[in-house]
Amino acid sequence: MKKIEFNDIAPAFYSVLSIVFALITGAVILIFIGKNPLLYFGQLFFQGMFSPLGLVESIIKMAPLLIISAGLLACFSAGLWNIGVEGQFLIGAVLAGWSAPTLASLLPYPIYLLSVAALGAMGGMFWILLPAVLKARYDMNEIITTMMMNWVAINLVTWLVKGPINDPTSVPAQTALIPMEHRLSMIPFTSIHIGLIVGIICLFIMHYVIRKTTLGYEFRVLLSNKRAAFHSGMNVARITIWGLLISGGFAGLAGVSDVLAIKGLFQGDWNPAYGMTAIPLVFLARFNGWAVVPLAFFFSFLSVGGEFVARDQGVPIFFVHILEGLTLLFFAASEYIEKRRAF
Amino acid sequence: MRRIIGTAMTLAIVICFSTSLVLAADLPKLVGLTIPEAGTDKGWNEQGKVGLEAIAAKYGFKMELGEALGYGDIKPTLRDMVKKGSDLIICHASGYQTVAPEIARETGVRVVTTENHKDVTPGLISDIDTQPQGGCYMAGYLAGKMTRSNIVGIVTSGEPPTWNRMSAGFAQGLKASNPGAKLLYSLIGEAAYADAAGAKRNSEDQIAVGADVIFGMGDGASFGMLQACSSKKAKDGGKVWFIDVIGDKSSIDRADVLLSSVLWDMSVVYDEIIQSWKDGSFGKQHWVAMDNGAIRLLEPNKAVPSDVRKEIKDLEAKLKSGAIAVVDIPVAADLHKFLNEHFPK
Amino acid sequence: MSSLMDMALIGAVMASTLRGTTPILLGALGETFVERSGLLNLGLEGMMVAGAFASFLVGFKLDSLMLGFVAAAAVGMILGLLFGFMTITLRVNQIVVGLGITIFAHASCSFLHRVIFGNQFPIMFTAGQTHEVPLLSKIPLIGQPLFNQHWLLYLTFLSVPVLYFIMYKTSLGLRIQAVGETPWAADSSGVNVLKTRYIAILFGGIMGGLAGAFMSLGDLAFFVPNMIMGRGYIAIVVVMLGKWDPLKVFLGALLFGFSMSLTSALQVAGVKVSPDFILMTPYLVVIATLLIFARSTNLPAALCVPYERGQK
Repeated sequence: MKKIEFNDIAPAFYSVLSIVFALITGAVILIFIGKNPLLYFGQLFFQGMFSPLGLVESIIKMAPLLIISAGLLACFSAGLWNIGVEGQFLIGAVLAGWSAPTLASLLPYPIYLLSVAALGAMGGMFWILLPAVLKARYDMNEIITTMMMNWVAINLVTWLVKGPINDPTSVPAQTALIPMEHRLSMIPFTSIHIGLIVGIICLFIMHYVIRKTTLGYEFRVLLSNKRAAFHSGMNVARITIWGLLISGGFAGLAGVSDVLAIKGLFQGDWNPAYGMTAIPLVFLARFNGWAVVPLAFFFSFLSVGGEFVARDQGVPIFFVHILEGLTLLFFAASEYIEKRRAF
Repeated sequence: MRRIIGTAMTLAIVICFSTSLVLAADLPKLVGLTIPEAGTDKGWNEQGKVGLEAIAAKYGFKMELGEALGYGDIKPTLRDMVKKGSDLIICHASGYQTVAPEIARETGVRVVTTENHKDVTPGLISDIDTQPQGGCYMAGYLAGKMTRSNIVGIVTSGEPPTWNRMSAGFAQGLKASNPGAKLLYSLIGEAAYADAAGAKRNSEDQIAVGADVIFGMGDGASFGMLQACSSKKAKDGGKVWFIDVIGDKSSIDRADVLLSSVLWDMSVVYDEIIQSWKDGSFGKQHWVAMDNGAIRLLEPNKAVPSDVRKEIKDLEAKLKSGAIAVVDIPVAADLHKFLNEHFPK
Repeated sequence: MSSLMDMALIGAVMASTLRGTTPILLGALGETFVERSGLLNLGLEGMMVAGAFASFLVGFKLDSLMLGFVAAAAVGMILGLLFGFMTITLRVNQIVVGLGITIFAHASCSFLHRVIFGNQFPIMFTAGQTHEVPLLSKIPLIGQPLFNQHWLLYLTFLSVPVLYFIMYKTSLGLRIQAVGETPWAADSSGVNVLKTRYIAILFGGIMGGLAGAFMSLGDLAFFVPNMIMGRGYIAIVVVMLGKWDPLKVFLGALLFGFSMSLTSALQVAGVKVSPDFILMTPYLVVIATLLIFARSTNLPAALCVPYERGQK
């Protein structure tokens, strides 16, 4: 039997350690406002992780994070910063909301699903095309351009649902409702939609692509040394565009999954802002697809369980977001400890 | 033998029926309320929270508040509320109108949706829609009487159906009292409910071109509008009046510019829902409107002359009785069309 | 369209352009130095939120505007220190730390606002006052909009040439540039890389805090959660638009402030376009500007790269 070395479990150990530190800091805050931290955290874990309802809901919430992370793996491992996930998500979602009711009645179920997914993914890719081309041709910083495209997307989709693609039979600004039978199907014997499986498959495909394929190799060269990549004859512009388009495509796909599985239509005010969670998550996972899964679960658990406990204990819901921020910071700090050990 | 079975069945049916009657007469024990923003926003969300608290105290049921849930996936919250034994869940946002009926059908727990007429189901799903245009008609009428420059402005922090209805009602009231008045319309941003700086900027621009009454819809952003009206002078050097919606800000109105407010009282409608629960008619359409007293105008500022007050009172009676019909315009595009037609630029 | 020509509206646009520019410019000027030193601070949004809340809380509770502004600067500096400690000393990923700080600061302020004020939104009536500049404010048309503003607004605009001078003409400015471009070379020529970066991020934090304070106590007179609405991120965009040059950053911030004030002015002037399109203008204008002027962005070479002796 192989002996388990500390180094094998070190990442997990540090992750747990940073969560513990975040919880301790959170406990201090709770004591300050006169709440019992043991009661709070006990219930948080019990309801969010160990009750069937909390567990299932936390797992359902992982799907969009996993799909977005799959795309971010590609662009981050090439050193490209797509901060505009939100915008690409919304464009994918609005296209799904607009096309699904029509396509569902025209096409058989599997083809309908695939075509809506393809449309949403293309929408996401389209939304990052301008930043990608600008980055590739003029080396214009993609952080700023993708961020700008976010705001344009937010205004564009609300204009669309208020006017051109509005469902005239309902009062609010939204698209037509997708009937239950045309939603994403469930994983057999569960109430978890298949978006989760899609997310896991996407994640592992990208994990593999980055480590085993030529494109992935090119991404990694681009990250470590752009000049070397250029001089070794790589087409840097092409790699750059691919890296960004892949991430945009997956973000669009996540939008499709959420509309088809959860919302059932697209609404003007809706913007779940998954990017704020997914972007740090991929960094914390050190671009490792396997590590994304437990991290995504933890953040989903925090938001689901945190909301449950907020109602029970009368602690304002913002406290969960404080925990989320603290966890990110402690996770980041654990990166330092691990790096030091490496020497 | 058959007769015995028949009698037994009849008896069983009668017993079932009467117990269900008894059950129907019972009150809900635990009522859930889901709202998208914090329940302390001095606007839409707080109105729901405060309204239900009042009714919970009146009928002695418990309430469970899920706040700041956003417009995304609230199924986990709803399922948890069901698990905890909620008899009734009120989903106080039009954004929840697909999720709520789905949960109701999945679990059999009664829900109340917002602005969703299609899913109303006897015994299962009730809906609350708002008809605030009557109250806003009075506000517009008042604005038309109080403006000195004949320029009046609407500043809004978004274009959800309720906001649009209020703008439309206000415009019609203004037209009725002052047909020659000019009406400005500014949208601060998409879901800019908290953009106080943007609200101030939009109000100041309207004041700069001569508006001296501002009708503002904005939750947190309203404070920016109030500040603009307090700190800026109208073109003639006089006050710029502010007409608020939903709540009463007189306690922080130090510059005394608050002309009035279109008040909302959700508890009226929640009371109706509990009544329908009691008499077994749960599962119908409810309205936040003038005729049931859920919408009314805050006592106007003391600067309003008594003859105008009297006109407003008369107006109220006419609106309640239906003698004056206010056109209902919930859709943003229709509102823009309406404003362009009736107040050409 | 006639009211577009309205002098009063033009005046209002000028005034609101300046006021809209100020928080973005404050944040962006600080971020210019931060990025020049090799750090990318995505926590700026959070620092602005924290500054807005801290200034209002302290100012309101102690009834002192001055202490409010001091508190904002202090809170901004503390968050800057946190960012610096994590990214400079611990050398962990800047994007993660930045987003972490933003989430943390944003949630903490909403949380504390709830715990301290509940559903009350008190107004600080002494805040938001303007100060007329003698003589200049009497100039017709432009006098009132430009020279009857809050003191922090004047200070912000006056700081632009000063910061330009510091960036290009003082040894501190040159050191900051050096540690952002070639930290190892700066180090070998005797510049303390870590200390220089700390100076930059502390300055950036103070400016971010003040930017928030200008919103809650300078332009307005109250605090509402979510009132910053992405202005911190816009400041980061403006820094890159201005290519890390305080003067160009100033122009970028002004462009943004102007397009924001256009969103309301065009509606008042009766331009017959859907408001949603008008509201897209600031972002479209910036993208267009990028396409026309900023063809290539020469990032500081060591941006986002932690510095460690002996490593290149």
